[in-house]
Amino acid sequence: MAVGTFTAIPVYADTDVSVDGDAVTGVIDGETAEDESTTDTGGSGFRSSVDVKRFLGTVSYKEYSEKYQDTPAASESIFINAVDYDPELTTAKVEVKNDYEGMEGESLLMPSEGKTTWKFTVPKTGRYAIRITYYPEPGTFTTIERMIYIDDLLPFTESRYYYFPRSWEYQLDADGEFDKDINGNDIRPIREEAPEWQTYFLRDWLGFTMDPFEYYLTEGEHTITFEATREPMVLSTIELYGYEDPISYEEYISNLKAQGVTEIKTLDEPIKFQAEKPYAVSNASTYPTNDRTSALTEPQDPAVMKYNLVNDGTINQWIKYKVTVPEAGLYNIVVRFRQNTYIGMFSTRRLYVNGEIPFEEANRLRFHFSPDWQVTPLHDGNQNFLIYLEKGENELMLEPVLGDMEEYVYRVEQMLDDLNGAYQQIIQLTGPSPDTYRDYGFGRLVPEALVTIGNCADDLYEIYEELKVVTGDEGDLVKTLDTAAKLFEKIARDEYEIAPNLITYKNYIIMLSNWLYSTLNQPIKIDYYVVQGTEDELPTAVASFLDAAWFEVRAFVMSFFMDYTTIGYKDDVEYDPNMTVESWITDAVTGRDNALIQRYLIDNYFTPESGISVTIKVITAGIQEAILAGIGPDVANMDTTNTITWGLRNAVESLNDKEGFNEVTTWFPEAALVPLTMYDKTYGLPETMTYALMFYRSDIFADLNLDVPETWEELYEIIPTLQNSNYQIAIPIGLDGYKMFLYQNGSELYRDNGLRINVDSNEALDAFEDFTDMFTKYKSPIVTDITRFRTGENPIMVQNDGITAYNTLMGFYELRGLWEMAPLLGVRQEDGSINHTSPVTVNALVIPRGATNPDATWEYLKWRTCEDTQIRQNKENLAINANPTAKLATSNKAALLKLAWTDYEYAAIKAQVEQLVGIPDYPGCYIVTQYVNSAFQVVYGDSSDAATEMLNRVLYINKELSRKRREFHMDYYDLDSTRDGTWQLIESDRGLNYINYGK
Amino acid sequence: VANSKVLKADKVPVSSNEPGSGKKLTKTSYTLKMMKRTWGGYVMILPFTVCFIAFTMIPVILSILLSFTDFNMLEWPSWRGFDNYIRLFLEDDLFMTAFQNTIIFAVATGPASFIISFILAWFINELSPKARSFVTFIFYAPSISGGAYLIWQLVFKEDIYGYANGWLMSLGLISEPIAFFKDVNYIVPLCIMIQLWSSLGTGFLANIAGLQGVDRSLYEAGSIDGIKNRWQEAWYITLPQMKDILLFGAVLAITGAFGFGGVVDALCGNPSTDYVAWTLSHHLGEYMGQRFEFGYASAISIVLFFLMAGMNIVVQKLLEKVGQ
Repeated sequence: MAVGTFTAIPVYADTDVSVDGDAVTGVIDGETAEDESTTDTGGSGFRSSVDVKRFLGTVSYKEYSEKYQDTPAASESIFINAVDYDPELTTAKVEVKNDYEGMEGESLLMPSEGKTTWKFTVPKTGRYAIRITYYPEPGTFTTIERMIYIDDLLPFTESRYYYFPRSWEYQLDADGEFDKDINGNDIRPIREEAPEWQTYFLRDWLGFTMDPFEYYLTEGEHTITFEATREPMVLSTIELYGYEDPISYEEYISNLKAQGVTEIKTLDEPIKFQAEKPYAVSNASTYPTNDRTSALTEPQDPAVMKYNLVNDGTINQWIKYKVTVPEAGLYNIVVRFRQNTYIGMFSTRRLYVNGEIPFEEANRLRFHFSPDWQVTPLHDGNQNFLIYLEKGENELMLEPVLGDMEEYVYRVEQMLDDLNGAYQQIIQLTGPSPDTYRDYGFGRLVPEALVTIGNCADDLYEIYEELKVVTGDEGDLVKTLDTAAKLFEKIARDEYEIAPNLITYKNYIIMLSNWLYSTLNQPIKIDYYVVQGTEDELPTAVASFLDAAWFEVRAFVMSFFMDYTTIGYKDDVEYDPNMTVESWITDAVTGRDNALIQRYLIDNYFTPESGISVTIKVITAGIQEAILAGIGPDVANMDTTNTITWGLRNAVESLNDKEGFNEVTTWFPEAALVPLTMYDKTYGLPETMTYALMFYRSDIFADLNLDVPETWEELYEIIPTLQNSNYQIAIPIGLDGYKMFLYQNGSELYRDNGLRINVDSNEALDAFEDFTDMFTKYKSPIVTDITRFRTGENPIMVQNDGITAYNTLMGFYELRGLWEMAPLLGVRQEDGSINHTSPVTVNALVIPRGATNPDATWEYLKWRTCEDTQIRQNKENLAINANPTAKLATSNKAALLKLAWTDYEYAAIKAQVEQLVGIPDYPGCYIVTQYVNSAFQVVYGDSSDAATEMLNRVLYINKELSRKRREFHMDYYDLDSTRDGTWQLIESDRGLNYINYGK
Repeated sequence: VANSKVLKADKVPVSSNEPGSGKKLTKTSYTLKMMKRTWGGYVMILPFTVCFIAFTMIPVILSILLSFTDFNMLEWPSWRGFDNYIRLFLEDDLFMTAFQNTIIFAVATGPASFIISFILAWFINELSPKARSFVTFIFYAPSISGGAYLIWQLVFKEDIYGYANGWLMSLGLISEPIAFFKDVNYIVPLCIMIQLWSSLGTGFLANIAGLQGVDRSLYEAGSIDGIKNRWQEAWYITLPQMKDILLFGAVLAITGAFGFGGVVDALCGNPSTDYVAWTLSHHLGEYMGQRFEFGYASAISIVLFFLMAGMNIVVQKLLEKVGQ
């Protein structure tokens, strides 16, 4: 889709209207929406409020399925060959493939955008589940996403999000072992995409519903449409079938016995396979991990790190194993595992044997909580199961599911909608901070809210009691429900308790929501599986005291000989010993994870190509001291202020003379290099960059019938409406916020190439007034918090670090589809375009003085910031970020735009990245931050005149700028002349005169 | 065996100081001789001495030297004579603010914290042992948990979610939330209050220990000698008995008060609005960490050092008056 244009609007079904009638109105609405959006000159790709409302109006699958529960499941299946699509209704540029990747016959490649539609005839009215055979076309790490329409309508909300798993395998060496680094530690294996044809039934991607989704179809002609949201896929067939529960375990056994299958009593040699070496995984961030808590975990070593278990649990993300057995029969499959995270509860897995769920209970295999390692056969809490395996190779697939928790989670999920609705109703009367002593008359004004809360309390008590029985324990997860229920009961009984407890009430909603999403992770650490006979003895779970003690003693002794700061390189990588680079990573939070990712990328992509080896060290501080002592790194991360200060003092190398420098600079937005450049010398390359983006809650805007503002002016217009409903606007405070207004006003922070400050110019003073008005006049809060966007108190927010905010918001599952990202609010220009300019700050990679091998270092620097590396790093980061849609804040423009954005997101990011401004960090820049922040706080606190407060501070700022420039032996304004305004320039004693320097 | 050792030890002074032994020892050679004999003791203090010289004395001397130079940690320092000190006292407006604030904070928190902690200790010492340990714990807790003062951030939060703002608004005293830690009118009093709260613990604990160590029989003797009331008892017996502990507490209070700054950083941000709570330790940190002017920073630290040393002497003199 081209940027800025509007795709055909998805039309959402309304349960109350007949399909035909609604389709007609839908189309009319769709056209209206399209007209509106084309008049949108900003081209930032907002979703229209009509569209959002229609999305909000869609029913959930639960309501949908309840409505049609009396309709029988279909008795006949309908097969559709993917290649029989309807060319007239299809907008995607599809491609027919012949005998593609081992699939006989024709299949259809559907690209990452556009719709593909098929026509089919339903023989008999009924409920149809849908099963597709697809091939995940290799691409990025991002999941494949589709929306599925029936007759051009979304029958229920969940039909908007279908995620199709990919398939990955670990690359092991010739002996089937993990690669080792020079210290003998295992290295995190490369995961190669190993796409396979898969049959997959359409289901709830979140996992709240375990069974396939069933679509209600009437007899006659229908269409089914796949609309691509992310990533291409190849489709072979679509099958619509009637879903039936699998047979019970009893039936399974008796069926098999009837066929003459027998139990395997004993095996000479138990067949053991290690969990950390699966055949394939669906989630690229399922990594093998290391356990040192038990001497029995296999393989184990007291000195070096061995990957010896797999720790997974994200719902719907499967792991596959292949196991070969000598003869067909019923086997006992035993697991050594530890489930110590999900306290007092059990984790659940669904088992597929050779692609089929063998019996109903296999949907709910339990792994109970215990602080210790356990060894158990597969069971569901009531009985142990034997599994039939064919002679030869069998495929076992385990998939985390909700299992017996499904019902409770579903009930709490429904409840949350009601509780949130009640909260919204209440704060529309009171605002987020109610007056405790006022009688709001809730009972009279919002009686239904009180009833809702009361019902929720009863429900929660019920769920709490039932869960206690199911889990046999009162873990903290279950206890949460009881705590919340008590508060809701109190509020519902006495309306005067609402005002004093409103904030707690809101926190409890968040707590319940967190509870809900925590159940979507079913963590288990699995060491190995053993296939054995029914009479064979179980392996030992917990090491004896002596074994454990001996292991610990050896591990302690070895800890004196191991180097933990250096992340060693792979032992079999060839490199030139004269070409080594030492890179220091300082990030305290993600330091080690980041270092592992760098290590992985270097070993696999950099060293083999360039012959340059790179040592990585994780440090917390002390770069400056190290450089002074002459033992500094060759590459380090640094902020812009230090880069410039150190560069001017020759402690950081200028990169301008490096080979290919001019080409490298074109990789980044021009603005990103400005803070790293001082007088035509660039001292670093930007690795990540930060800039502002705007976020808004589309549901609240649709609810209030407001258009989303694109300029500050438009925002001012809607502020009264927002405030009437007690909503607030969140924007950055202090210098960060001021810079946005300043540069959008066409002004600048410095004058005369940094010789003096420019905040005393008329435009700058106007900008400062506009900015402080946001807080004094329009009452924006000076403390903001992203959770207030989540609860809806701040339905619109500007975040300085836009990408981080985006990543955080993507993690709020309940908000999916209810918010959008847009460029920063701007100022409309005379030609009608909007100036969305945002200041950009970068994190730089620099070469400190005394780098041993400048050329090799430069090669490494180029490689590290290039497009391919940045995209790969983004993929790898997903392993740290549990969130599969998280993005790296890369400053490589091409890489940034190639990340898997949706069309709306892409439009917003592209618009913003094209309007960035970099502000040079002139010597003495710290003083500007200090005084401007003070001016802001004083204006806010004392409501004094903005211009006066700013002007009062200009002299102090100029004085420090002059003083600092003199220290750097640059030209500067004489201090006395700054007072009387004559601006006498004192020339530099080292010939560093920059007043006439071109920009 | 034991006997022979004793004899040997006895012999030492006798032989060296014996008049008429023929050799008159000078002080130096006597000292050297004694050192040779007691070498074991010197070996034992050696590790500490080496560390003390390497990590305390040399840096102090170096920083005195550096305060006369211009040093940015990246280039070799150059000699500047008294430039740094001249600039400090004559040109640097911010230094004067810092100096004033430091004195204000030091006076408000140092002596106050010292006196309050003594009085509290004195009162609490009268409680039964169980009650005493409980109350001691209550007072000492803020000091053990280093960042406990951050709780005040929640109490005085800038928006309606802060407790103080919430209460004041619900009482109808204010209509808009006050940004307590950002508003120049509130920063200093709040910081003084919080510093007092968090610094009481250590001095208080020392005082309790001191009070426990006072010999009870002295009170008996005192009452026989004509002590009339508890005040006299405190002034003539308790306090003189506790002099060392008092000095210890005073030194702690003074260093704490002059090094004041961490609380401001954590609660009000660095720098505080309009530098209203800017102290010498902020000034020092700013020039070292932010501006890379180590020569100038050293000069500041020298001034701070003399300020503290001077204050310690004054306190010592004052304490000598106790009980007179």
